[in-house]
Amino acid sequence: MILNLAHLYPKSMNIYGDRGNIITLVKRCQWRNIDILIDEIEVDEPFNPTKYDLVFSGGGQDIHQLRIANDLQKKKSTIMGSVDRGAVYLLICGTYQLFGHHFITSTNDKIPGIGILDATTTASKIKIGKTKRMIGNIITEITVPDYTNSKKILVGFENHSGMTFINKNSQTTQALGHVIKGFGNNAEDKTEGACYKNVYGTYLHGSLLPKNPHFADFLIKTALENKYKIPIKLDLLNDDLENTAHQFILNHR
Amino acid sequence: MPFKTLIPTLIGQTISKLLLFRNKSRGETLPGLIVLKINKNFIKDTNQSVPHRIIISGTNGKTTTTAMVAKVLRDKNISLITNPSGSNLTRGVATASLNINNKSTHLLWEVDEAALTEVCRQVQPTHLVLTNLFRDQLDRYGEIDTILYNWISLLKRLPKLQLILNADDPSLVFLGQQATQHNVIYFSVQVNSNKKLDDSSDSIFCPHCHKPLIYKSVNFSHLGQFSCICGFKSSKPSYIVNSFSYKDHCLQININNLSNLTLPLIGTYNVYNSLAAYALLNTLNIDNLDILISLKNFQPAFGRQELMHIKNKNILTILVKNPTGFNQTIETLTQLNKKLTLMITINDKIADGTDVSWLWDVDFEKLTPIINKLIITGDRADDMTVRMKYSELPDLKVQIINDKLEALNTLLAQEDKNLYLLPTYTALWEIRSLIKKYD
Repeated sequence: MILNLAHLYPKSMNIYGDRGNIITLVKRCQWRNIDILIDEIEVDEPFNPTKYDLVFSGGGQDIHQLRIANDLQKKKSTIMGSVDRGAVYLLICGTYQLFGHHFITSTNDKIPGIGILDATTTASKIKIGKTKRMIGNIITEITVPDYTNSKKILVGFENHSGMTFINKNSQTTQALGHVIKGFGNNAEDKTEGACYKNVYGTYLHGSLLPKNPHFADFLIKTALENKYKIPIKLDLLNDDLENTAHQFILNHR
Repeated sequence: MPFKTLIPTLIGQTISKLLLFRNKSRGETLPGLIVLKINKNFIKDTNQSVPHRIIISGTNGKTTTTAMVAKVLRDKNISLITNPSGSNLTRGVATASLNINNKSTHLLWEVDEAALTEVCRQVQPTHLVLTNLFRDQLDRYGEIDTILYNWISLLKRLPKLQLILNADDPSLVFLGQQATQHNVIYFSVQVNSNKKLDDSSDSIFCPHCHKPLIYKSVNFSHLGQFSCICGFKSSKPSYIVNSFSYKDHCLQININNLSNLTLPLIGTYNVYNSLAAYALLNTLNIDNLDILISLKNFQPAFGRQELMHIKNKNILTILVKNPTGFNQTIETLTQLNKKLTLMITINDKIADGTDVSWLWDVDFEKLTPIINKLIITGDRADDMTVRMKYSELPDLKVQIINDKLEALNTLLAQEDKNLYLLPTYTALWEIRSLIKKYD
């Protein structure tokens, strides 16, 4: 079996070790003899989403977020097509925000998003704790019904000033999880991340997937099932080390 | 001494003396904290009468660069006051300022990048060296752009000074081009290199137009010779390293096709450190030969390629604190051309950065092939071990030992005579206090 993975904006959006997610997806496929091919796609480069089963994009500095926001508008219609066909998207922090309707920055500039997630983001103007940023270890529990794995806890590290709110009456978008410890989407409603079809947005850096191998495997499985249209059972791997790192965050809550 | 500095000085010095009997590390900051409570302008009041006020800051290399400058100035018997490595916040500078007397001619402060604005406001430096700007502890410092814009607005408020900048760092060139009221000189390493930008490079976009920069050559991370289609490019350097090579664990560095500097350190980052020190010392009118002789006998600063001898073993300690520094360390170790026995110690205390995500920005894939045996310890040993697993280090070569003393004992029990220790900041202190028990 082969998976095609697109890494969107690896140069602009590569903060807080987000590439650890790519390393994890690649290794966990390779260890199971699943071929995985990666294309890196930068601003102004063509993106043909029909080719890809999995798309990843990370967080970045504000100035870079502005650059990719313009570029995303150009890629919007093709991305929407691939989302409708069930491609799996994992979006962290900065790109998660831009998959919503818009992001209002600390200087009140409105950066348009591509509206795939029915959510909006506003930069925090008041102090939450010591600063305006939401920083620290975070623990959440996945609440998306499609996620049937019994291991539902995610751990990570969040560092963001954007407060994301999912539209309360949304027919399309739901939260990825419920916050057990930390701030999550907005430090108010205890939600974390967002999900529409197979698009998952989240604030969890850390890196997310190395410490949550069950979620990495869920993304791989979903991508394979969507591509091959057959039920997939992934080979079990020994995840003792990953689970120990995961447990560390739970023990130090 | 004026009255407003006399009282705090006496109090601070008394506290210093009392603390000397107790805990040295607190002795470097607590007196400063107290004198600043008594007189918040204490640094300003004591510093501004000293003719040469030098500040060295930047993400990486400030401790080593400061130590080099201090060594050369001390060898010249110049009456110098400097702050110990690690005491580089405002309170550390205040504590060291207690030692200023009317014979002091030079102040040399290593300053944390986040404390630079406040320290500069008080010190009003005559010389400011900025080494580089990389991502580091984003949970504490914030984004690189935030620091850069803070520095630019700081420079607009400072009276005319001598600014010494790394011409190979796009952010610092951007800063230098806006610092029009100051004297600005640059240093640059221009050697033939076939290296490419690595994944964790930070400032690879033009600070003016935000398009990707075009690199003619890369030394490491985003340091190199660059230009942009909008016209932004590196400024002309006054100090250039034309070539460097290794001989017997030493660097041989050619500066301006003229001076041959021998330095008992390795790694491209130390070429930059010595060049920054050289440029500053030259600006201070220190004789060329004096610089070369002093630096030839340079002793590495605390935890920066510091060599310790215990139980017939040699332990080379290299502090690791951010992706760029760690990548440079790995590259330097690779150049030793041998399989290594080493220990990595990762903590996540505030001084280390509470977020360990940065381990995924380090190219451990390049370290894996040169590992003979790796011992992993530290508060976040688990995260480090997962990172090594994904760099395909075979299980047999790695041992996780949570207890640091046991880990150190295991390291010392290895066959290799030469051992390598790579700790984060607070781990360096912990391991050193354990090592002292062997003496």
